[in-house]
Amino acid sequence: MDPSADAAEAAATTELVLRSSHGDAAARERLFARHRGRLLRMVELRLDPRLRQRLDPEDVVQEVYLEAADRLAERDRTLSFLLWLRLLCAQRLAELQRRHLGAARRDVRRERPAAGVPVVASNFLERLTDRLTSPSEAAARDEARSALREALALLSAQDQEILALRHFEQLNGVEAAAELGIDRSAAAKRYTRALRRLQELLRTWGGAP
Amino acid sequence: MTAAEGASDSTRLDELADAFSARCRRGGPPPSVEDLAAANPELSDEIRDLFPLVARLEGAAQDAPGPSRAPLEFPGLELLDDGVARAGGMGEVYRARDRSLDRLVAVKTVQARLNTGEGRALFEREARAAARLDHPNIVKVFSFHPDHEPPYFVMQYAEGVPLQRACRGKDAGWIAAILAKIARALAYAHDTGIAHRDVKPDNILVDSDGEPRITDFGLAETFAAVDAAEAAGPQLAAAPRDEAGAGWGTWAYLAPELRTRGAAAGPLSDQYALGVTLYQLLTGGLPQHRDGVAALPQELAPSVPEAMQRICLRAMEPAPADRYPTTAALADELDRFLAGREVFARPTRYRRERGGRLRNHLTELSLWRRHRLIDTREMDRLALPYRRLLEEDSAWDELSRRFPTETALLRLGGWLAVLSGVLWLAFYWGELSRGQRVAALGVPCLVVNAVGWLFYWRSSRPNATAFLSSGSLLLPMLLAVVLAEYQLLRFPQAAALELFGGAAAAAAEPAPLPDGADAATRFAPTNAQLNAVAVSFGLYAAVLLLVVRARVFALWLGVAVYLCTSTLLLRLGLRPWLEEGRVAWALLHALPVTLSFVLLAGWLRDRAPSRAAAFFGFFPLPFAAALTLLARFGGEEWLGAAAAWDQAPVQLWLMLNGALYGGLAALLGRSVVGYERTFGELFLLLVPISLLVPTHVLFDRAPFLGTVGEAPLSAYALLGAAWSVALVAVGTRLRRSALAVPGLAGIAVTVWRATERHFESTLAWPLALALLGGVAMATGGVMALVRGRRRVG
Repeated sequence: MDPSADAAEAAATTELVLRSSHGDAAARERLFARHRGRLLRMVELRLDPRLRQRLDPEDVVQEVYLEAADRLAERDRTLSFLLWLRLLCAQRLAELQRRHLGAARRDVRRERPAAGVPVVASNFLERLTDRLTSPSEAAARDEARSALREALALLSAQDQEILALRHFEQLNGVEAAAELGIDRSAAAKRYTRALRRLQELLRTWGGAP
Repeated sequence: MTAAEGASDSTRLDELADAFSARCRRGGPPPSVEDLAAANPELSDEIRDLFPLVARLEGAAQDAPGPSRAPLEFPGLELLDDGVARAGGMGEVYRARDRSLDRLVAVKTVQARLNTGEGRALFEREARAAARLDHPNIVKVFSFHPDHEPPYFVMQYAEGVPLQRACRGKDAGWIAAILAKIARALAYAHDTGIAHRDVKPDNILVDSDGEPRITDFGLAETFAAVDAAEAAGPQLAAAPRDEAGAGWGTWAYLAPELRTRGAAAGPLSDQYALGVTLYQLLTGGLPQHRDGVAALPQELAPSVPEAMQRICLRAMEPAPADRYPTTAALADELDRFLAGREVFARPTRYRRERGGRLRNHLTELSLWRRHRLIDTREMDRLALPYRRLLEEDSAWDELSRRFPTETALLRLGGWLAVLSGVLWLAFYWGELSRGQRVAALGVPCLVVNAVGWLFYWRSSRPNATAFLSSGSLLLPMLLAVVLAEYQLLRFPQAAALELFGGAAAAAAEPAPLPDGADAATRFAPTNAQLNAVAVSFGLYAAVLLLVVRARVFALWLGVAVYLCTSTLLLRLGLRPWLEEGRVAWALLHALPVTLSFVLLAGWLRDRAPSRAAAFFGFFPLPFAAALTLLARFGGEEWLGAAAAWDQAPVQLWLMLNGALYGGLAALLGRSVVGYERTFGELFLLLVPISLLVPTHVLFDRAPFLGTVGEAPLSAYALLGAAWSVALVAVGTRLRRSALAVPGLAGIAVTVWRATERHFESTLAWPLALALLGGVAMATGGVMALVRGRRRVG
């Protein structure tokens, strides 16, 4: 079921991209709707906390769409559509943070789009542990949640980043590797290492409330 | 294992994790770790070890808006937005067009991964709960289709943006206005018996006119047995309250009693969530609790008005009892804020912080004393205000200290109502029928108490105190009149012991009052009636003390307890004992009562100083009463005092008593025990009084000053006034209220006795009081208006 579903998904995206770049507005709408959730997560994760009052992630995503619609035809075809959108989004975020916070101009290039706007750890933790998700988790709720949050907080920034990419921004292994600008096996190693460290911390700390 | 193998292993693991995560996201039954491990034996250990964590991370990340799934079909509806859902708590919400009515609607379905027995039951509960509500600020439910797969319901399409987005960049007034509307809508749901249980900005949509609409009653629950039949239905029975009930809701907005104690959610936990929402709107972030304390909104956003901060903190009180009693009360408070009026909330957070600082001050003060920088009396004087602040009900006192004009006026109004009833009775007792007598007290008593409780439920505690403190005084009076008028609790055989009427009255009138209204020209309750009145007064005062928690009720309670014991002593035969000269016997009975008061006051002083204050008077006062009675009834042969009150020997004995009090005051004032010093202060209070009264009486009768009865201002009045003024002056100079207060009382007595001679009728006195009250109220009203206008402007 999984590979075929993924393949169908990818084929549908490719078709939508094709139709969009030929000016099909409806197809473009659907294409963007498909990616909206993941882009929103990216913005929520990487937006500087000082800007949360002033900027709405929805608005940022909306601006990225406008820009993407303009530049769809001239897009970098070596990148997947998602990663290209992420590149635009990272550039947009860097621009906003520079304008509002007067931060130094960040270099956001295609090799490592999101490096210029790193994951903000507090955003990540807040998002991940914010809500209850399933009945079974509800039963064991508070210890489990606070343990996960504490353990994640103790991880290094690099480990947090790969876990955020994989499980929050919902990139797969290949996309994450591309995003990080490292090769597939190195990304996989980094990911499994982060998981192990997290498991280790949970084992040491997890029992205590 | 070589490095290459390690790398390929981790890549393989990574790919499996990808597929596994994707299946977690896709919904449906959660993928089995065991199956995966069995299918990949070479990695089974790693999978068993790490994949539950992958599922947990996916679960934790799941709720933010995710990628869309295959579009759904609903009969009669056309899904818009390419079938992209907005996640809302338990369900997914789609925008759709109703083909038959051609209007926009919202369709909510249960999320696929929650489409199981328990999740479905909760979903059905949401539909039914929301359908019961009809309020402009709550999204309406049009229809429910439990048999469709997945089940869905159709509701009003609320155009708008989530609350936090709508509030971005808005000022506190705007936020207060919108929150008041939300609170009113929630209060309506609560009145209907439904708690929302998942209040948060995401669940409130604001349209372009600034009208909020509460949506997503996904966790709503009937907390009252509104519809017992429905609650017992199979759907709800499938989701037992304890498992599905507690623990749902969004973590940051979850009230502490739900987090830790698994308490049932209700209006007060909704209020907590609303408080967190307010916090978030004011500061732009969720409260981050460190050691159970979150930063104050003003620390994060200095522009937040202090009154708003108090409202927010009170709604977010950790203990439910400290929050607003109802959500409507919260809405009222927000309205008060918007109208520029007083905000009554006093969060315990302020009290706790102040408590820590106050204790430091008190420690510092005792250090000063130990280092002999100040003496004990000075330490007491300095520490007294700090101690008062430390007390349990100090949040209250803060208001009474500031004492806004409106409160002052209302208090005055309450007291005037009391006074009018009492004075009417006092001056026209003989001319009134029985019904009129009861009504003269009954009407003000009911009105004042009812207004007091109304204020209490509306969270306006200072005004509640003002009315209840006078209303609770009227209650025993009313009870006494009713008992006396309807001749309840009369025991003819005890006639000799009665305080009023007594043996003489009983002898002259053997048949006890043939017709109440005609015969009873004098108010004469029996001891048993007085006793019953004192007990009921005490009970009412105790209830008020526990519920309303104002210091004045502690005083009332003390008075009631004292009355209660006194009337008990009367029923035992205090009056005949004294009249027969068995003073020692009477004292023997009074002594244990007095001693128990002393012990109670001492015990309470360190635990609840405000309550102790009510009992402190009851060592010096009964002591003084006993000595006074001794002087009055002591008997010529024993103490050499004459029987008549105004004769010189009695007065001389009283003055001697005064000297004794002075000695005791000096002795106790040097004590190192705190409560003994308090007794000393009270004895000091008695010294001028016991000297003042004889001064008045003696000079009134003094032959060397001639007959003064006809003079407009008699010599005694002048002398008494001089005495009093001197006391006030000295007391103020020495900063001893024990001297100044009796001086003020003496001045009042002098004025009273002077007016007595000037005015023909005694009615002039209450009229003058009423006039004074009226002038005070008018002045206060004008002041309040001017102040209000200035604040608005």
